[in-house]
Amino acid sequence: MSSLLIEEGHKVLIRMPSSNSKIVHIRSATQKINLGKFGTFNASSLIGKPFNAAYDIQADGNVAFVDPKSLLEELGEEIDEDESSERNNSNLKDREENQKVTVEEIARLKKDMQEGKIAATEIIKTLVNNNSSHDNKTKFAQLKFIKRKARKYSKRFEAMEPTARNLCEYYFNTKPQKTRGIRVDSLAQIMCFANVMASSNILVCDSTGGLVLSALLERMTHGDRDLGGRLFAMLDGDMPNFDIVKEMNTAEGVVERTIDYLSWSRIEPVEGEGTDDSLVHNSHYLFPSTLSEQPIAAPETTDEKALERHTKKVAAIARTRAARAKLAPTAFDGLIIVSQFEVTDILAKLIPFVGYSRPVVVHSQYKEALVPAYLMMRASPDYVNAQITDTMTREYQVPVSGLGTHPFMTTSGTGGYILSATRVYAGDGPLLTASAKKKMGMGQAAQTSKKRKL
Amino acid sequence: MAAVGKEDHSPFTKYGKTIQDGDMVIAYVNPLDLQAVKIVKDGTMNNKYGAFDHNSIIGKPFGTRVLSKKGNGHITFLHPTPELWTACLPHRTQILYMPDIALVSSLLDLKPGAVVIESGTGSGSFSHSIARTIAPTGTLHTFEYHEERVLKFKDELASHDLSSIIHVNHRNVCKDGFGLTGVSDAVFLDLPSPWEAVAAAKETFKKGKVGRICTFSPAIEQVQRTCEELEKFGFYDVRMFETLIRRQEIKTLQKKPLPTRDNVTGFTKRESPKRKRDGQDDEDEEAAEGGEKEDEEAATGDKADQVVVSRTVQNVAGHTSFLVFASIFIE
Repeated sequence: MSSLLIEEGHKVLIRMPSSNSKIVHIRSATQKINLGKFGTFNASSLIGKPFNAAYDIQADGNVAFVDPKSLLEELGEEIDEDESSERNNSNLKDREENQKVTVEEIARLKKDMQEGKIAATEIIKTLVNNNSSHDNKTKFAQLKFIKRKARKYSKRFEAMEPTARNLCEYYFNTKPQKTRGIRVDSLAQIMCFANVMASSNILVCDSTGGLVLSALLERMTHGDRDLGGRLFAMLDGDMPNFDIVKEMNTAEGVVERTIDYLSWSRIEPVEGEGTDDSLVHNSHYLFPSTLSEQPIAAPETTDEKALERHTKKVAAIARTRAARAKLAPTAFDGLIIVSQFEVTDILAKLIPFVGYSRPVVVHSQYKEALVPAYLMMRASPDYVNAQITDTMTREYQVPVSGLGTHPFMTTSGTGGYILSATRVYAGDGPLLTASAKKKMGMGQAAQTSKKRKL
Repeated sequence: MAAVGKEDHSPFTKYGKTIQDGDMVIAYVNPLDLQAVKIVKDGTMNNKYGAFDHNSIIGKPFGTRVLSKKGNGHITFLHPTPELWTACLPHRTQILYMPDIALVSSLLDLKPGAVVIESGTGSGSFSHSIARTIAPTGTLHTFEYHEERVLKFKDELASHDLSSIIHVNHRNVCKDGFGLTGVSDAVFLDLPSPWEAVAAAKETFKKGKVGRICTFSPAIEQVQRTCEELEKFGFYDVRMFETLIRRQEIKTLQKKPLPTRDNVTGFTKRESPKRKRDGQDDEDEEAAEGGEKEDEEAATGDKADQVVVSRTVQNVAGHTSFLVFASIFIE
């Protein structure tokens, strides 16, 4: 299960009052964590507190757990419950003198707040009480004003657990190009289409900085227990580039145990390249570049560094070979592709390794990038149930803290397209040809004109 | 609980490679024609594609595709998955479909080891998916007030070897609560009046960590009452979503040349290289045919006079419900 409480060494996704987020690594308890204009706090005061809760930065630099009722609720007294029809914006004018508190006064209040003399709510109250148009606004407009001010002055943040879902949302909002535009709902659907179980052995092409691997890892692990599930990731280059996996708080050893890597260029062993030192340049040797299946001769030297290099190299080669050996026919329980490479090329290379009756799921921001693979699948006897879908998801403001119910002003237009299909075994008996199907008036015309269940 | 020791073999929590006597398979013809079948030695399956001997597929890999005896269709014998089960389960109620299931599972942070509470069980569509996601170390406590549904679901669980992961309770949670305290990580309420169960749901959450709740309601009035109640009982970070999956239709269009003048008659000549009839209707007709025929043509040639086009299908069938999520922390 996920960790209940924040510990030293954990990563925390901090959601700030502005609703921007940042990932913070609590390396040590003595650390100070800077949230820019919202203030700085002592890491020690966050350790031992629950994830996914709200905290206030106090004057002494420590954080205090906030009984999770909203800031709005605290400011509730400033809201006029009187819903008379007299209130509307017909008399509201855009004048500087609407706000009676001067710019200098506000600056002084802000300074006081930063020094911890007054609370953020004080500033907001002052601004509200000295706003001459506030009383003429409807209840909803008053709330909107307070909410906007709270975003500016509040020192309340949420310490979210860096789960795949939270990280997905974070990257979608900040760097969607890094995660190839995967939205939370698309990622969730990939997990369903791919029938991800704790015991699955899944082949993954992840060009999303590790987001897809993170989500899979989360669905296949429970603390440090080995549930049998394994992931096999194709590397875009020679080195893994899965930073997002490292941003999750996984138990020690789990990532190493669960994920195998192999570079695209190492799928087939190449003769005679085992001695090529230039390929073994990375210092970690986790993701080896040597190719040969031949044993590597020990160097004729007593230089310690050279011997150490040799040991690492042998380990690296062993690892590559072990990984390659796992790429066996029908060995995998699914193939998930969110890659920068051409889908049909990937399928041609990897489909032999995918088991029968196992899903193939491909995500792309662009429908056109999936169409050639879709057409290939529909024409091939090796796949059934190929379909391309996308998802419309809309978030609504909800009626809490006196707010109204309505759609949010901005909704994301797309979370990308998903091509899904199932690999099947067509090896045995005879199969109908397309023309024979047409003659019999069956084909798949009937199914496409009706509603699909899947 | 029944079937102790067999749970590891539930097809919903672990894959099998080959079809064995006693296995459940999904006989798939197309996305609208699929059927769950229990394979038994010397058994026969009968449908419009003719009789089918179970023995002929015992020992074959899951995903074996065969031509029907009558020669009028392919049947693929697929490994069961919660998604396939959702598409062919016996409906006792309205059920949850994949897009909602996916979003709820994600936003409730379901993963192995999670303890989940669900009410009502309904037809057990979501229950199978939850079990898949929380297995092998998690538990689902599912509650249903309709006795017959409870009994039928218990039978299903026994035959799907899920009885150790899913615990079924016959109980009206709005009136009698859940009878569980401090055990759950997540609660899912699909009830006519979910607000009546909010207070009781709060009792079930584990202490010392943040738990998640989701309610599933079609009407905005239900949402409003639920939100009031959630707020009253200290739930926070309340968010609401609506989600809809849209299938994309992909086909090949024949490019049409511009009309020319017929030198004999003097009228405008409209040419359609493939079809003899005049243009306008072609497109609609192609749309109606859709499907594999068009796709296969497209795949076979990169013909200069053809263009591959796509659009969202006209009829997007979806669920009509709102999903409300919230967090709770109990010290």
